[in-house]
Parts: sequence; C-alpha cells; structure tokens
Amino acid sequence: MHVLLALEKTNDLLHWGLGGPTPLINTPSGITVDPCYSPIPVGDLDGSFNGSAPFSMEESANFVVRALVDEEHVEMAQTWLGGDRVFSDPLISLYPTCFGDPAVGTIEHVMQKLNVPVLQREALTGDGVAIAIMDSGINQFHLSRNGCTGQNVDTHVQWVPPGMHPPPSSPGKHPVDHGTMCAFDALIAAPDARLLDYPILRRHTVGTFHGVLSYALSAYGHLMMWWAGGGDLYDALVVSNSWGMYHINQDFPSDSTGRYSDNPLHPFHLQLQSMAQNGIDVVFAAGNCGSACPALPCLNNTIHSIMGASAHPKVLSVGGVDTQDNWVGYSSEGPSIPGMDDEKPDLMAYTHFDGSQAPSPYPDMGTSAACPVAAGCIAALRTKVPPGTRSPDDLRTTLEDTARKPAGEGWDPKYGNGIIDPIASGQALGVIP
Amino acid sequence: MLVTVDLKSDRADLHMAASALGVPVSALDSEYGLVMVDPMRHRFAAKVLWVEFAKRRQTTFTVKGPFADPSLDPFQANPNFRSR
Repeated sequence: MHVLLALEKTNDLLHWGLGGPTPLINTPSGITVDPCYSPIPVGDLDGSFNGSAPFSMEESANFVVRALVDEEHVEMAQTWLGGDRVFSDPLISLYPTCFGDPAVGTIEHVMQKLNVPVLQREALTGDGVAIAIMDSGINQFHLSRNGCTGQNVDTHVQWVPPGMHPPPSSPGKHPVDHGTMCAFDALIAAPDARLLDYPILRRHTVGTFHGVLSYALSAYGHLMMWWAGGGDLYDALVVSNSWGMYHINQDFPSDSTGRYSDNPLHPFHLQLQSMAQNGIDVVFAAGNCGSACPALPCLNNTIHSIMGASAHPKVLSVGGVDTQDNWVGYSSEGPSIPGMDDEKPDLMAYTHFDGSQAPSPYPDMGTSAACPVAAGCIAALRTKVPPGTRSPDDLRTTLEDTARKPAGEGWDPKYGNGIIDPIASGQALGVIP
Repeated sequence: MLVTVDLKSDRADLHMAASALGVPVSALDSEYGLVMVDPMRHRFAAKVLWVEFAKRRQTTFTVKGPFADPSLDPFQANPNFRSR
C-alpha cells in the first residue's frame, strides 16, 4: 500500500528536495521509498509552527516522502521511525455532481459534446421523426420562447389520462415543468423532430405530478395503435421516458407473479417487446439512485436500483454524465435488478446543464434530462436510418459499440457501455462520412 | 386490478373482454377501457373493479393477472433532492 513517511531532516533529504540526487535510505525489509517523489517540507509534526518559515526547505524540521509498505509492516515502519510518522495515502477523486450543485456547463456545451453542427451539416435533424415524450405534458410556448423553432408539438395526436375529469390541457399547452424540460432536451440533437405529447404523469392538475403504471400502459397502447394506423406520416418513432419507480416497496411482494420490477411478463414489459418488434426505439432513464448521492425517494437503496422498464432488454437505459464527461453521483448504477437485463445502464448522456429553464432556476438534471438528450440523438440518426434498415436492437448495439469509453472497454456499472457519440454512430451507420 | 386477456380479434371491445373474463361489463373500468398490449396475440389489458374477482378467478391460458400498478415518479430534481 502507498503511505506517506515523515522523516526527520537530514542534509541528504534537503539536497534531494532541492533537486539533488536521491539519497540511499536504508529502510527495513518491506518498506520501499519512492525515488520519484521528492521530499515535501512539513514543518513540525506536533502542530507548533516555530521559526519564520517552518514549511520552507531550509527551516522545516521534517520531510514527507512516499513509500510502498506491505500492510503487515506498517507497525514495524512506525517503530523504525520512532513514533507516529506513517500516514495513509488514500486514493482521491473528484466529488461527483449531485442534486443541489450548480449547473456544469450549458446547452452550448452539450451541443458541442454531441457535435450537433456536424449532425445538422449532414441533415440529421430529426426531420420526419416523431419523439413521444411520455411525461407531465409539454408547453410549446416555453419551447418557442427558449429558442426552439417552428411548431414542435404534433397537436393531432392526443391522449388523455383515463378517468381524468376535467381532462388536462390539450397537447403542447401544459404547465411548464418536467415534461417541457424533457421536450426541450430531446430537441437539442433533433430540432426538426415532431413531439408527441403524452401527459402520463399528470395525474393531478394541481401540485406535484406523478402517475401510475396503468397510465403508461394506456398511453403506450394508444401510441401503438396510432403507429399502426396513422403513424406513416413519420419515418420513425422514438419514445422518451424520464420516469420510473424509485423503490421496490411500491411493487407487489417478491413472491407475486404480477410484479412489475423484475417480471418480464408484466403487460407493460410485453408492450415494450411489441414496440421493438414494430420498429419503435424506446429510451428510458436509468434512475436517480446512484451511490454517491441518491435522491431521497430511493430510501438509500442504491443496489439493483435499475428496475422495471429501465432494466428491460429491449429499451435503451440511459444514465447521466455532466458536460465534463464525469458520472453524476445520482445516476443509478448497475447491475440492474435480477431477472431483467443485468447490464444496465446501456449508455450515458449529458445532464445537469443550464438548458430549458423549465423549471427555472434549476439546471436540467437527473437522468430525466439525460434520457431525452439520448432520444434526440437517436431521432437525429433515424432521419436517414429508418427502422426498416436498422431495427431498434441493431441501432442500440451500434450506439453502444461506438460510445466513448471513459471507463475503458466493456460494460461498466456506472458508465454502462460509454457516453453516447452520435457522430461515431452515424459514421458506423454510413450516414456521416 | 390490472389484468390481461387474450381475445380473438384486435378490434375487441369491453363486452368481449368481460365475457372472456367471466364478469359483467359493469365490473370493468369503462374509463380505462381496453388497452392494446400485444397486437400479435390480440392481448389487451383491462381494469377489473370487482374486489371479489381476485378471489374467484384462476390464471388461465387467456386471462392473466392481477398485475402490479405501482405509482411512477419523474427522475428529476424536486424538493426532495439530496445534496452530498
């Protein structure tokens, strides 16, 4: 193990610290001083600061060097040095971005990281592609006021949560909140895509928003019928889902055959299977139960926290990185819940940036933001790669193979298969030179 | 409660579902209606309002459930967010 050793000042140490040769330090067996780590003056070790410059080379009474010590020899090293002079040298790393932290970059940074100008140059803008935003509803006015051009929401497609009286606002006219953030973020890479507004989380018209799975089931049923009937106005359909179940205690007990979290035969999971067979790309947020700073509703459960649809083998499960490519501390880690696809998340996309201002003044954050960013990348690629030529499975594999790999080759519990790279994917698909 | 039922057509209605489930149509949630799950198998989801239904019925080849219908939340930052 690496340790720091505090040695009393000698002329040899002083010369070494001033750039001279590394002296021969006679250490007992099991202790090896690192010759590449020049001594650091640390003054007196008792906390007293004697002299005018106790931390200068000339006046410091002690110097710290780095050494490798076998774990069983640490006590012996203390004895050799005559007291408490062996200190730990732990691995350190940056604190990951957490909820409550300020934005890391802006939408411009996200566009730069995704290389959106190249997508636009190659006419990969989402033209002819529909993105269904399964969320709390979209506010078109807010999108337009914040730089989105044209009419983004297809108002001809309308679904109302069953049993809701009075029904919520019509498509594109919902209050500005989470759903509008998702819509905005989906348009970053695919500004010409049309948005389908499915307000599945608008169970209540006032106050907080949430939904129940049967709403999602109903909305997906509506979407499937629409795609089979009138969806031919579009060449491709991508579905973005920035929601899920935070804790398994919301589900049936583990011995129930009707469970949602880990049961591939739940009707919603059968719908996802059917969507994939019909050429529809489905993207889900992985969840916000990352081990560094899980969201409160996770109840501190950060193991196997990717569950339900987010762990389904036919969906693209998306975690979050900030615009400096660092995993955000709330992004759920794999492996996912046993019984589903172990290796989730699949990919990472950008989050925690200054973007939609919906809701202001917070950054676009959570894996909620990462999910539509990835959905937009898929929509951009689908402009020239219709599902008839590449199935959702094929496209997902290409996205994974061409992702940037900050954690190295292979699947990683935090980063999945890497950070989404639409340019590399487009090149692999033959639509970008 | 949420159940699925396999019918003979993808143009099914609540009456056909009620018949397959062995309940009167009034036992089904008409506002929820019949939801397409798998067009290949003509499989639909419905909500049964009768509490007694769960006790009476057995899972059969064409009827399955009840299934969990958990609450869902957005994966966003909200007032419950937690900093390190």
